[in-house]
Amino acid sequence: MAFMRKQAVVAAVDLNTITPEDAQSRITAGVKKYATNEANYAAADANTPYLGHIVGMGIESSNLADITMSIERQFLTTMTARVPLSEGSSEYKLAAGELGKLRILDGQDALAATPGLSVKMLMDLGHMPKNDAYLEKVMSFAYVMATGDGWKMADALKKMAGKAEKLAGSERAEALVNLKTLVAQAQAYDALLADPSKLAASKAAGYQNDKSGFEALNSELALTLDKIKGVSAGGDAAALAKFRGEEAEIRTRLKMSAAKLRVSQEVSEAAGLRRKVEDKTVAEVRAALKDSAALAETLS
Amino acid sequence: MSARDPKRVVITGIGAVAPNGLGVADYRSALQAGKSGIARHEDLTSLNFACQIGGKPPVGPDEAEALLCGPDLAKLNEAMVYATMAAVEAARMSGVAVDLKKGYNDTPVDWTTGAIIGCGIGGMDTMCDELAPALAAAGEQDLGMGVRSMGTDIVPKIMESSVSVAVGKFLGLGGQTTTNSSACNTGTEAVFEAFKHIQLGFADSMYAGGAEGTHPGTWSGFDAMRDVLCSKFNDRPEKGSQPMGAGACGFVPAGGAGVLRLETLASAQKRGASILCEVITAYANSGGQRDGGTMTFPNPDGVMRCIRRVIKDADLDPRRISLINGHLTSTGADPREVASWIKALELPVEKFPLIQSTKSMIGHALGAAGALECVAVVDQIVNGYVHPSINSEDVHPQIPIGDSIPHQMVKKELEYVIKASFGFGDVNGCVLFKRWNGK
Repeated sequence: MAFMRKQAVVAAVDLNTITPEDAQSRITAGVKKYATNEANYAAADANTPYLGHIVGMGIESSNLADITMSIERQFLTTMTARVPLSEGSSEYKLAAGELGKLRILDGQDALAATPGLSVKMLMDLGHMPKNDAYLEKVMSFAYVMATGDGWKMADALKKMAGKAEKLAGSERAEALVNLKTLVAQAQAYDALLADPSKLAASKAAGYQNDKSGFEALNSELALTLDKIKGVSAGGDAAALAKFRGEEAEIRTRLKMSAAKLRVSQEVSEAAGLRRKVEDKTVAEVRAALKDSAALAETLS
Repeated sequence: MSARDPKRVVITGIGAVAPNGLGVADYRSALQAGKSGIARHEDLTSLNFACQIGGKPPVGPDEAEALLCGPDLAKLNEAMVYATMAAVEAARMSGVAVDLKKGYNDTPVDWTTGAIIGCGIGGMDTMCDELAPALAAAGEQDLGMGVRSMGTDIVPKIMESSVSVAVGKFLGLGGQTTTNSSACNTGTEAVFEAFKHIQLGFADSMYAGGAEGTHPGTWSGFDAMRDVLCSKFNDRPEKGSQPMGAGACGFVPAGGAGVLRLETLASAQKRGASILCEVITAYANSGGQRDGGTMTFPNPDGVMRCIRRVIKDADLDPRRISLINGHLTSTGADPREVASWIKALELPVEKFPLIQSTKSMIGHALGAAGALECVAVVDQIVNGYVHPSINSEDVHPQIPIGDSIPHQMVKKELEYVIKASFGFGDVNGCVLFKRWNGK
């Protein structure tokens, strides 16, 4: 870009030769040019979410792909051999091979929402040795999501209270009704955060919903494949084209649904397993929820 | 008042990123001093362009980073940076506090304000310097990885609406935010569109203007056309742009941005904003590429009709026009344009108003030209001066109103100022401004 100063090119390093902390700091440095919330970026640690303007670095969701590419450019790995998923398939997984460029395959970065989780992803995929001591300091994806939702709720409540304060008459009355609803939601969410088992139950319900949606799509696909089978024998080219179109559309929706399911499954499974590293953030979010609710309740 | 009653529209802010001045104050000083912003550029020389001179705004990393933080800057093409700079200046002048370095995402949406910021050619710097190399190397990449190296910011930097969405993002605009494009008429047309939009009650205020980058790719097509760009003054760049001059030999390409904040009179008064001048009326049309009009040349009848329509809609005696800010590009079309003005105004030569070309100092900024010229008009009305039209001391022999061309800055109180632009595709635009007299 015409007005960007030239940036130094960072040489890629072998992931097997550096500490998780080094990997984390390299990842965070690579993120810098996408982070629009400078204050949050400057104070970012392993658990600062990339996304969001309230608690994250202010990265736009489209730039998550750039972060993955930035990670790929910075590291070398020995997991470079391509093994086809099935015979003749163009899809492959990576296995141990020669030292070479890091490659994050489609969907593998779905849970890498913070620098710490990006390092965890590299460990999980076998690109660098697992380090339990480091992972103890990394908030789980489930709690990054759960606390992020809490921050957003507290922030929305605070903003709405600020807005309502300036209103008068019927507009104020309407805003106060909405505020009351939001206060109730914030209090309910605070109660959920207070109890990991309740949070897990709530997230499990969400997972079950997503799972049902995924299964329904699978059934739809099976039905369409049956129709294709039937029409293929009859030689009706127009009907065949129509069903092939339907199949392609369902497969696209299935792919998205599978990604969503993977995320909600992760959240559901980990929501009940709160660790020390998550306690502090949960306490902060709960305090923010309480403060916002208290502020809203002062209005009448 | 119903949503469709016409409303009085005033200007409450202007911003300029011009080759001869960054910001309205510098732009004014340069215009008053007759200072050219045209220079010879190494990149054009190394590409063996016939025309190696151009007007590039004095903006580098220091100036850009003074307004925007790095990550935001990385998401912008050159024209977007210029548009943002000019719009922020216009916003601040109109009394809107803007700090792009401090959490602009948290400022509330301004639901009653929109933007029509035009662009002639768009993110050529992104297309040439980022997209094209990645596309050229795509065949060597793995399946599905062909163009991934482009990153995710390419589309917002090459889409036509990039300049208006940048302004909309930084100023938090909730009204219609869009980009118009009508070649060299773009900036003037944007003012017309915004004026119409406000008059019809769709917004209380609008940012209107145009922006254009200065990448050689943007200028290359013009250089490829014979005699369209000035190629005889590579050694004397400041003399290259000679609108209405006998030695005019083609326009000098330029870039930059001009943005004006248009607003209903009621809104400006309610906010306590300073009113710079009033937009009386505006119009845009096309010559249909007939009767002498072509893709690159305007139909004189279309030009005349456009100007006359504005005068008629304003119910204005042309003798009250203090100044014409013409399109006047320093090409063979200048005498034809002047003839159209003479015909449209129906005034004897001795009564003809002053006529100037801002392009004599800034070159032809394509999609930004009309907007930068509208900004110059507003500034002249507010500060009571007429900037010189430089390099035209030796007036073209086919131009009979040589005495109306100011060669030095003139102090003068301006009442009505008419501005027109004409663009490739035989498209025309005209705006009539009036000094604000307090009521």
